Amino acid sequence: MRRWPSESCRAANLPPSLALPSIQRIPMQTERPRVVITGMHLITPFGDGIEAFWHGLLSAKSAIAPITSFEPAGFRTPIAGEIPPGDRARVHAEAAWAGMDETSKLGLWCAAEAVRHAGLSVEQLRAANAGCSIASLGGEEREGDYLAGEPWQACPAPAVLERSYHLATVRVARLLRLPGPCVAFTNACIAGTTAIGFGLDTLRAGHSSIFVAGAVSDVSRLEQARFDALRALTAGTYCPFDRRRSGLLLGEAGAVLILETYDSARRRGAAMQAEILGYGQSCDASSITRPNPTGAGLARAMRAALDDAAVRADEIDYINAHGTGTRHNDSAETRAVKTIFGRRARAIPISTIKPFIGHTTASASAVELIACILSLQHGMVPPTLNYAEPDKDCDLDYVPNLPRRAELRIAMSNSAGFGGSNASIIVAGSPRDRERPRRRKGRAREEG
Amino acid sequence: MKSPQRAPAVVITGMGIVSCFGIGAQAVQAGLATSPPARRETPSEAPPQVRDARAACPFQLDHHLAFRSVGYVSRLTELSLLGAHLALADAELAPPAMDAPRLGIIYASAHGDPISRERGWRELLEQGPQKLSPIVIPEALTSNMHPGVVAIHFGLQGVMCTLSMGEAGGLGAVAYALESLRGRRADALLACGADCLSDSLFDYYAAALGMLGGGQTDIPLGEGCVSLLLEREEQAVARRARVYARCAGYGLSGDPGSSGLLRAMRMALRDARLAPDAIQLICLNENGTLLDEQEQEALRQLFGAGRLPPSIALKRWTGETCAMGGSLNAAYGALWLAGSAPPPGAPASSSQRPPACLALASSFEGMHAAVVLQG
Repeated sequence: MRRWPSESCRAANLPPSLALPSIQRIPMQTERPRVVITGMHLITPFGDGIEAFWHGLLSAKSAIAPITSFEPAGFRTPIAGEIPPGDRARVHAEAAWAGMDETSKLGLWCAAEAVRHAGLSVEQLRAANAGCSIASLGGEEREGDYLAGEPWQACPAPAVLERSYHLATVRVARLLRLPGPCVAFTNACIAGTTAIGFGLDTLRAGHSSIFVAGAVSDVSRLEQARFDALRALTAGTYCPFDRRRSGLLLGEAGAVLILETYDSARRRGAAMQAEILGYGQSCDASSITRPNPTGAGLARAMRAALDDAAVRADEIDYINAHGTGTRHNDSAETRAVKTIFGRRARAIPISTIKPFIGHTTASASAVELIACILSLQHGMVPPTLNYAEPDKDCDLDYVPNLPRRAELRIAMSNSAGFGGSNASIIVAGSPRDRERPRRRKGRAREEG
Repeated sequence: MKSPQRAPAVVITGMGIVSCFGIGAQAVQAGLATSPPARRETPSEAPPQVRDARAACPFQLDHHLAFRSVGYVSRLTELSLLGAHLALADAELAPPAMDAPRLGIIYASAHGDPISRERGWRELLEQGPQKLSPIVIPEALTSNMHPGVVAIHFGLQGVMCTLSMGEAGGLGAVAYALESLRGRRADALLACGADCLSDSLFDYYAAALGMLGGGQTDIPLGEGCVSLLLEREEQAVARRARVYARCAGYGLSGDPGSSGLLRAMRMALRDARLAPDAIQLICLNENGTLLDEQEQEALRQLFGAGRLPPSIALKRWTGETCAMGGSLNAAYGALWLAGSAPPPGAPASSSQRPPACLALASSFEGMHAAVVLQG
């Protein structure tokens, strides 16, 4: 039986501006199914696969480089995190996917590999009434090609249809013949967490016993230009939580996870990579492009995730921050963490992987959840790259520049998006690992 | 596979409708009293035609609510704001009357804001990346901006989510809101389906019809926004709210063709713990395309040939309204259950209150949603 969150985890002695509005506390269902991860795959600027990604995070070297997928002349910021050409070529080599938009291809690639990783067959997926949700913000690159070329009427029919936000989800469902609930989420940079959270809810509700969830994004001209016009891109070093931070750099990735009920995974003897404990969402309702400076919105999402997970704040061992590197986000997120964790906030390792691969927008939260799972599995916290100068508004332990060994059991991953959305998801190591006795708590040592 | 636990009941207590019928539910009732516009048959050898439009009625947003904009506001945002305003007012539920962090919005749009996106592309391609207008960008960047503006205006601080299921999205939003309320992630949620007309939308649907094959009727395109306010029944009862209908169950499926819709309907009925013979009205997805044959086939398999309950196809009046279509089906079903909207041509029985209605929506790509409503 899980413990209910203790009131003691509420932050003490906070100024009124940081106080959370009262949230009605309602006991949740006690016998809902546990949900575990039995497969995952991702493709990032570090390359294709889990190993390349984890090796890249531990290398403490960024994969961000000059843009090659389009001509960056005229753009103030001509660099981004792109998938290496060799890995992209492997994805594009699938003849059946010719003509599809980039995000669909990335989704199909990652979903097929994740299902393989989970050791599932199409028959098993159909018997489980498996559902699917691949978050995406669309294949905008192709839209630009139409406008640049011919009038809409002259566009070949399949090409016009590539504009849809939900195509990656539909195509993954078709490829894997998934018969269950099928929904695409488009809520900006929290879309990946929403897709995974929807999968969690679907399994808990008993509608399916397996769910394919993830997110995809690609670097495109329009997105690069939009973020640049909003002055969100940095022309200097990408250094979240650092005093010098001046914006973000974009990236692209695909990440898919296989969610499965604990009972289903145990019955078929599947390897359990991790357990999803809960998630929460909220809205700032203050600005569509800037976070609430008090961090109250993100704090509400974190609180909702803790409640949903039935986990106390003092059980969180690692926080993967949204950490975009913009002035407003990083200070607001720091305040949100302090609101929830109080004095213990300084004792929790917090890092962001965005300086490694760029901000991958729609797919960021799915990629970062996999980073959390790998951190739990390896007992290692990936660092915040390029951190050099502390900032008075960002005064927590951001694990600067070098990975750090630590005993980790439960991790939290935060996300925030344009429109004012916030999300937080909590993941634990595999159920078997969690049953081992915890070693003494202490300051973890740095690696490297 | 279904968990034995009984989830908390969820009801519809408010609705905001902006459509070609006019503004509000009464306009829908009045509009449906007239015959639907005649359809034009397209010869099988002719290319698909999507040229007719049934725009939402014109309105001045500031005549309805005091909205102060600091920048560009798209038509989709205006439709969404008005729909949300009407639903919250109808339910008499908005901050500060309700705890803002427990009130949220689930928003569905099939196409987002193509007008702003296309404007952004044209600026980028014709003037270069450094000339892009930052005023238009937020609206064009992601469809999350539209519910974001609604949330800011009405102070909704709870769950906010944007989803896309093509033409099934509006009903998908109702399903997602239902699941979120059952999971106690919120106390009340607006479920919105909205889309707006644009030049490129006509080409999109011409292409979609082309993919389906010829030999079908033309489909006019429509637009608008339908917002439904869903809340847990215990809360609605406690505050003595008017209840239109109970959301008894939902089903979603990604299986293409009739098997997907059949699966979604069966899942919805199982979720609602009802047998097919409890259904007294079906709000069809029917839009005049070859998808209609799949829908009829799925209904025949569920109910049996010749045993179909009465049905209504609202898109005969509104055209293909994309994500809004499913929301309107749910709204109509709720109105009918509340005794406010008899199906055209079939007078409502005053002695036998219809117990349940099935609202359907399907996308061209094969995403299906079904929601069971009960009186």
